[in-house]
Amino acid sequence: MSMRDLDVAGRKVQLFEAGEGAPVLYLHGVADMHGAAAAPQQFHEALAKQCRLLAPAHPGCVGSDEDNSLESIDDLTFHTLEVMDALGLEKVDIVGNCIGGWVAAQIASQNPERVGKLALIGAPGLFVSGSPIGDLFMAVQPRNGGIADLRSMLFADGDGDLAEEWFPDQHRDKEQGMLRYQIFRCVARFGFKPPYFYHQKLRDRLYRFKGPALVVHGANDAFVPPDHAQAYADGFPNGSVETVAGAGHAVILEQPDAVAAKVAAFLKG
Amino acid sequence: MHPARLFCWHFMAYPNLPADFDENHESGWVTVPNSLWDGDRTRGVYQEYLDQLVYADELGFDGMVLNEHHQNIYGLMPSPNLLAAALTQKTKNGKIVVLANLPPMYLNPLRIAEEYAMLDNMSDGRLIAGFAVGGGPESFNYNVPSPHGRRRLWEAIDLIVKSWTDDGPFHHEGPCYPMRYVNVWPRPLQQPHPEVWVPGSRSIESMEEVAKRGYRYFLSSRSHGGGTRMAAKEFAGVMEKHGKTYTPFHMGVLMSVYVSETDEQAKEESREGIWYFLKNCLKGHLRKEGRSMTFGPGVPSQSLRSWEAFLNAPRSSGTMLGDADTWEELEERNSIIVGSPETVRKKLWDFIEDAQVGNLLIQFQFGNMKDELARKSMKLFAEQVAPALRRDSAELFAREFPQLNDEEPVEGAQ
Repeated sequence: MSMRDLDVAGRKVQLFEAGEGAPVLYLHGVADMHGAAAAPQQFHEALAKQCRLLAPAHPGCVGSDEDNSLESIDDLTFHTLEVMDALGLEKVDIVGNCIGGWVAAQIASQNPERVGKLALIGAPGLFVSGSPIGDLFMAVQPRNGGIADLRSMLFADGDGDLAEEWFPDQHRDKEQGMLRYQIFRCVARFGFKPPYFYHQKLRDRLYRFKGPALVVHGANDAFVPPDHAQAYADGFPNGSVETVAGAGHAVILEQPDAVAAKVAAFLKG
Repeated sequence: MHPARLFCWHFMAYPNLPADFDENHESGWVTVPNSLWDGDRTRGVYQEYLDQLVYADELGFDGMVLNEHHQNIYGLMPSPNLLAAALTQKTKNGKIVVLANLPPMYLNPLRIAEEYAMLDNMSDGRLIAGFAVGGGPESFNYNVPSPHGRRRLWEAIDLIVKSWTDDGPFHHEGPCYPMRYVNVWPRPLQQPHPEVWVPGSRSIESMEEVAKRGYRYFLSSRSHGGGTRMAAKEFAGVMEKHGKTYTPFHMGVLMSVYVSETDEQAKEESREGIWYFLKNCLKGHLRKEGRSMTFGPGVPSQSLRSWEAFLNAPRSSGTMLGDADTWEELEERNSIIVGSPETVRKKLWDFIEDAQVGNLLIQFQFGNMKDELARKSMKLFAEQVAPALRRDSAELFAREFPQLNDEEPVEGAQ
């Protein structure tokens, strides 16, 4: 298990690496390692028992350099392809959580030859009429001094200890305050302006990825509504949905072992 | 001699909210439902507000100030330039300060260059051109990702100023606003261009950008503790680094004032308007209660360096101006000064003497304050407060900033 810095076209990218075997690229989300927390979580450790997990931090997150020119999902997709180049990953299985799932879907539709298997977890990225993606940015702005709205957007049990541990009203220490700001600043660069957390053309382009695609989604996800998962699965010729009952958007934190087992079984099968 | 410049700033609040607004709505910004607009009661509101600014001109204020906000009850000025245009025709002497237009929200900032150039001509050279990045609520309103705001702002400002000073047509390469034909008609009247003001909230990055271009820095704060003096010192230091010398006219601040015959009378007359302003207009902006949209990870306009500095600073109580419930709490903020002419003069003088800032942009009308009260306060201020402040500040500035005696500090852009 290690953290190291990668040079990607002159930009520093922090990389978490763990496990042995076939490489799997893990693209993180908001309530995730490299997102609101720095350290790998139970989910990542469980997954890394089955493969060699390579998890880069998006630009501006934890130790990765900010990139002021990043202003769309296409830019983040291109950046991630450059990360794959730097890691020498010609073709690799990709697991993407939350916004990482969106990036993974972009790569799979754009460069299908570079992706083996694709697992998306709670991924935004698609337009589903009548089912808008929640306003993450408004939810993190304090209401009556607290961010209960964010907790209930991301966790099935917004009042529970897990939600409170990840997103307390006041950051517990400077590190937590910085990480929270960094991930939101990163995501705002490509997620804030309309189309809000989706790419208008992505849904019609998913067919290009012919490989196996698993779409995992918390049944109570209040950020990305669960019917987006079905839309993804319908868009891939070889896609299927696994709904996780009792979980919200932060499904990898809420049910780490169950989700890791599903993903690991999919990658092995 | 160069006395402090005293401007009259009108925010143009929506004055007809229901009495239970605060109980039933989480914000006066962005999400405040426009079904609350009462057309019958609000008829004539722009005329009333404009006439107050015309009155400020007649009373001898150095200028009238307008600003841009969207989808809110704090300020009914989504387009300050429309009101500025009206002022060009109705006022004679004072500067017309548009503080500011928000270039990051525009697809093409040349629209601002054109409108400002029109206003400068229409006012016979009285425009002060303000440019701001826009705050959290504006990001939500206009879908501007906060991390891109500053980059867009400075490219837009540089393009606009260049469009005024350089002969067109010319090509602008971007990256935010690539243009094939930059060729603004009309050109501004003031040469080389109207004075440029840029608001900032004490970040070093903004001060650097303002100082190196020789523009004027407006401290965007509604509270004036020791922070304002610190900001003036920081800005002076930054100017020095760029080979320039600070004078009080390089910086401006917002103050709010209500003057009446006695302290008690002033409180009695202004209470309703001020608390309407604090509890309704500042809800969503500078109040803990309700949804705070101005500052935070959802509108991450600060650089990582600035955010780290913010996290390192000693935790304040977290209360903001709109949280004030009593006159005493209000007084601590040194933002809204209420009292007799002598009380107000003394407090403003203490402020000028301490902060050494020469542009005071003063709000007289609050929330739903009645026209006659706002006018009375403006008149008392102009007749019984302003003369002494001008006299004393001119002496102070001449003593502290001898270079002012060799140059004209307020005309021209540089």
